[in-house]
Amino acid sequence: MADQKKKNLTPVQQEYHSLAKKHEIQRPVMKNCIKAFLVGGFICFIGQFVQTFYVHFFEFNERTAGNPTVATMIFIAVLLTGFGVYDRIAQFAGAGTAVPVTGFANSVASAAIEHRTEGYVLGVGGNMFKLAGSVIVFGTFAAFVIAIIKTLIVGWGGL
Amino acid sequence: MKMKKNVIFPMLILVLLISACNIGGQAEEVKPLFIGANKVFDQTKADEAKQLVLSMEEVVEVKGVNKEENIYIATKVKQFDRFFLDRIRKEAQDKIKKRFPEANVHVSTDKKVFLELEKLERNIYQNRINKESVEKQIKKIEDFMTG
Repeated sequence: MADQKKKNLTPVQQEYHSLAKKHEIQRPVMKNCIKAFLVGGFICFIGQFVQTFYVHFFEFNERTAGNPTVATMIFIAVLLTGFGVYDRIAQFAGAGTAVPVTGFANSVASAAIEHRTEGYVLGVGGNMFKLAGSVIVFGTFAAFVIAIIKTLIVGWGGL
Repeated sequence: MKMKKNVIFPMLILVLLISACNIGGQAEEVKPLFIGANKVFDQTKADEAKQLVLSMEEVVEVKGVNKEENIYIATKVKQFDRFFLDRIRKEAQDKIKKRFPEANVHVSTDKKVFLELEKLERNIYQNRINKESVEKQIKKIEDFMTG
């Protein structure tokens, strides 16, 4: 609570604030982090497994196996979203399921499912990227900025 | 009771992390397959190159084949040293190039190249493959290295 705001409160209100703070349930940040770490790591483990599968049984080398691996992971995530399983996992793991590419697939698929009743063009088409749009915008913007920085460093610094 | 659960969970994670590091920590070096001279292609260059590359600290396993002046080597690198794959590849290349200055050296750390070279190595060793198939296989491996 900011000091500036605290000054405007009456003593009774301040007292209530400290009382409420005492009873407020603490967010288990550490536990959430560990959960996210483990589940996110497990998703990446599955991804690695799929990649190894493609390397062993198809004509892909490590670099080119990345594309079909991502496609497979997205496909699985969309399927799980449709069945309503992904939400359960996400409820437990939080950021662990949101950060990998599967979280992106989930955000697109769930928005599409949610707005299906509004029609295919304005409903599904218009709302599909409601959540994922920000990722795309800031992702491309960040890539743009980093590309400029790299160009400057390589061009002038001669690294 | 609730307190106890809070202690157990992090402890479990800690134990898992520590034990996992101990199991995965010691990567054993695997002896390379020395093929010799009297096969479809003389493999002495590849044999020597394998020995050279395996003497590097980061490398745990190495596969390789040569077709006259072209030497193809694939390595398996220790877990942590995988961060420096570029440097390791270059070092291995320089090492072989120093020994065989007139050879075309191709070094890769790719899993697929490693697997294919392993298969080809075994086939050459057991004389189960003829000249044309070796050439075809090598062409394929070269594609994997570049693409």
